Amino acid sequence: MSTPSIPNTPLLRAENIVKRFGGIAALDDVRIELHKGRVHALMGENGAGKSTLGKIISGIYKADEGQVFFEERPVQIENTRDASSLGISIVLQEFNLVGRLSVAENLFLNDPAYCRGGLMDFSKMYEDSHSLLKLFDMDRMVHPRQKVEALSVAEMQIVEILKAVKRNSRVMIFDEPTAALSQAEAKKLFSIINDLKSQGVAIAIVSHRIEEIYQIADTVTVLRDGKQMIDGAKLSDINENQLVSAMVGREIVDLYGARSSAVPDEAPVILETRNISDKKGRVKGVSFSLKKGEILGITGLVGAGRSELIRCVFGADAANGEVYVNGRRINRLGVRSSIANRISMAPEDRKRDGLLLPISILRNMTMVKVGFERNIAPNQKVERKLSASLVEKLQIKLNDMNSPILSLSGGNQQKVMLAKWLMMNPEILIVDEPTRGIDISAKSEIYSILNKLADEGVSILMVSSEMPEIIGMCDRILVMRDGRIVKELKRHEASEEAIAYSAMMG
Amino acid sequence: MKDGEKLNFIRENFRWGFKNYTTEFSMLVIFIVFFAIMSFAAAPYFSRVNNILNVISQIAVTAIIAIGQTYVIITAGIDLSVGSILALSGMLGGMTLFYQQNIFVAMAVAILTAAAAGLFNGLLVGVAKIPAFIVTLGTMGIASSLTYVISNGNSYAQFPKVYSALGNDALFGVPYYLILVILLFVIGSFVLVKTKLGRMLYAIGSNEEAVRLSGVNVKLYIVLPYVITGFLTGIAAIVNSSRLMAVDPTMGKDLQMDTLAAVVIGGTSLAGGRGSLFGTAIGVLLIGFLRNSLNLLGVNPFWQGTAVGGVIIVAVLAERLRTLRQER
Repeated sequence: MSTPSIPNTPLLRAENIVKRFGGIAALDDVRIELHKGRVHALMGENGAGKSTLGKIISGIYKADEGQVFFEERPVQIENTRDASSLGISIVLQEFNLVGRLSVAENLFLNDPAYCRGGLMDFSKMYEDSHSLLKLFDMDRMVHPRQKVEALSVAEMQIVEILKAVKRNSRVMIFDEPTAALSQAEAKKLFSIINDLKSQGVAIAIVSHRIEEIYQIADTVTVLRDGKQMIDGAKLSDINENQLVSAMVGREIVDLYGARSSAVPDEAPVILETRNISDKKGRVKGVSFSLKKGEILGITGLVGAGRSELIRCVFGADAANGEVYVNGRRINRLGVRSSIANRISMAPEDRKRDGLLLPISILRNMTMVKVGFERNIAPNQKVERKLSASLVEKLQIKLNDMNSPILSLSGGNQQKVMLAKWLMMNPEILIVDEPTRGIDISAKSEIYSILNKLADEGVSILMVSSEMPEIIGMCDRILVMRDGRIVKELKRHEASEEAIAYSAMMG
Repeated sequence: MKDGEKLNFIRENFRWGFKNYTTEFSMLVIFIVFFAIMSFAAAPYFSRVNNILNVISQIAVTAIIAIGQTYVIITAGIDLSVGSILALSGMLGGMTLFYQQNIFVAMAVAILTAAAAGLFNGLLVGVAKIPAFIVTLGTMGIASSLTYVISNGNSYAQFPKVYSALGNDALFGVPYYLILVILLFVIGSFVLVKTKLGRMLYAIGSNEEAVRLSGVNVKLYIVLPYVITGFLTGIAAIVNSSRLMAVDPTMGKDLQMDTLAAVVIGGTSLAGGRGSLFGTAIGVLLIGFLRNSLNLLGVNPFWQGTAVGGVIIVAVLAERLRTLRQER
C-alpha cells in the first residue's frame, strides 16, 4: 500500500515527562507518540504509571517536567479544558457519571447543542442517545431515560465510553476500557475503535490484557515502575513473552497455578440449589450443585444473570427457590443464615459493596466476624491476632493495620475483602470477579490463594467474565444466558470458543 | 512481644491515635487559645470558678443531647427534633410532677416520652427508609406543636423541693449534673470505641450496603442511635426542669443548632463514618464559653447566633481545606 495520507509525524508527542506524587516518581522521563489513525497500547502493571501518563495528556494531572507537542507545536495542557480544546478526550476507569440522572442526561449534560435558550431539548437528546446506544447494540437493553445508578457496571462503562465517542475527538485515550466488559461487549468496543481509527483519530488504550492488545493495537509503550521499558515499538515485532517480561521484569510461568489433586467424581455435594429465581426476572429457575473442594465457575455475557444468581444464593437479594447446604435446606434465605451455614461472598464491586472507606484495614477485616458474633464488646486482641495471621496467609502488603483501607493498592484491597470473609472459616466461598482491576502479579496471588483454599476443602463458586481465568481455574464451568444455565462444561471440555458459543447462542 | 517491639507498637498506636483525631486535637488547641485570650479580655470574671460552673450549668443540657446527636451523625443521619422533644418530654414530666408531686413517675414519663419519640424517628429512618432530615423535621414540628396543645401555652412550677437536687446541689462542690454529664460521656465513649454497637455505627456511616452484605441487621443499628438520642433528651429534660424548677413550652429552642454545631465543630463528619465524643465535648465547651464570653464582653445577645453560626461554618471550612490538601 502506498498511502502517504498518513503522515509520519505524530499528532501528539510527549517528551521527558516526569510526575511525582509525594516523593515518589510515578513517571520518570517517559515519552509517547500518538499518530493519526493508529491505536497505541500503553501497558504495564498497576502502579506502573500508564494511567498517570494518560491523565497527563488529557489534562487531569499536570506534569512536573516535560513537554507535550500537538502537531509538532509545543502546547501547554494545564487542565482538561485545555485538552478538550485541542480535541483530546479520555475515558476513565473510574466512572464520571451522575447516578441520579438519566443515561441521556449523562451523555449530553454539558452539550450546548441540546440547550436552546436555556431549555433542554429532551426529545433530541433521547433520539441521539438511542442511536449512540445502538453502536453497542444496547438500545434494547438500556433506555435513554433510565437512571444511570440502575445500570450494571458494564453498562455504566459503555455510557462512559459513549460520552467520549460522541465528542468527535482527535485524540482519544481509553483507560482500561474492557475491565468491566464481557467478551462480546469488548468486541463491539474494538469495532468502534476501529471505526474511529479509520476516521483518523489517534487512539491510546491503557490496558494490561495482552490478548486484547494484539487484537486492537498497532504499537505499544510499556512502563514499569514509572520507567520506559518499550518505546512505541510495532506489536508485530514483539511477542507475548517479551511483553510480559517487559511489564513484570520476570516471566510468569503459570499464571493460574495448580492444585495438588483433582476433585474426585464421588466428592460429596456441599451446596445445592433448586429453582432459584429473583424478583426482577433476571434469574429464572436455576439449579446447580457444588462439590466439596471444587472450584465451580459461572460465566456468560453481561446481563446473563451471573451476579444476580449468586447474590440470590447468598441471600443478598430477595429470591424464590431452595438452597441446600450439606443436604439441609436453608429455611429463610438471607445473609445471616448464609453466614451461619458457613457461606461467604466477596461481592463484585469492592468500593460499592465491600469496603468501608474511611475506616481502618483492621476494622474492615473484622467487620463480618464482629457483626455476626453476639458479643457486646468485641475482643480487640483476638481481632488483631486473627487479622495478623490472615495478613500473613494472604501476603497482604501493608505497613500498619490501623491505616485507612484506601492506602492499599487494588490487589491488596481485594485480599482484605477475601480476608474479611475467610475469618469466618467458610465451607463455601463465593467470589464475584475476584481479580477485577488488579495487576498480573496480584492476580496470580489471588489464584494461588483460591487454589490453596480448594485444596484445604473449601468449595468455591467463582463468577467471572474473563474466560482465560474461568478456564484456567475451574473444575466445572456453568455458562449462563438470559437468566438460565445453558451449558455445563468440564475442565477438559472448556475452550473460549465453546463458552462463547453457549453464552451467545445456547 | 519483646520490649522494643512493644515500645514500637505503643508509639505506632499513639501516632495513629493522634492521626485519626487531628481535627479533635486542633479544636482542643483552638479552645485552649480561646480560653487563654478570654481570660485576659474578660478578666477577671471569665476564669473564675463561679463563671465556669455557670457556663457548665448552661451547657449540661446541650452536652447530654450532643452525645446522641454524635451517634446519629456518625451513621450519616441527623436529628433536628431534639429541641422539640426536650420541650415535649419536659412539659409532660413537669405537668406530671405538678399534678402528682411524684418525682419518679415524672422522671419516667419524661424519659419514656422522649425515648418513644426517638423510636418513632428511628423506625421511619431505619425501616421505612425516609431521609433523616425529613423525618426529624416532621417530628420537630409535631413535638413542638403537641407541647403547646398539652400545656395550652402555660408554664408549670411548684415542684417538690427535693426535685431541685439534680440541677442545683453539689457533691463536695461538684454539681450533680456535672457528675452526670461526665459519667454519660465516659459511658458514651466506651460504647463508641469498645462495643459492637459503636463499631456498627461507624461502619454503617461508611457504607451501609457493605454492612448489610456482611450479615448485619442494619435496620437495628440505624434505629438505635435515634432511640438513644431520645432517651438522652429525656434525661436532659429532667436536668433542665430540675435546674429551673419550672417547665415552659419554649424550652430547648436553641438545642437543634447547638447540638449540631457542637458535633460538627468536634470533627464528626456529616457524611458519616467518622467522629468522636472527645471532639463533641470540646465543641460543647467552645460554644458554651463563646456565648458566655460574648455576654461578659457586653455584646448584644442578638449577635450570639451569628457567632455560633460563624464558628460552624469556619470549622467545616477548615476541615474541607484539610481534606482538599490531602487529595492533591
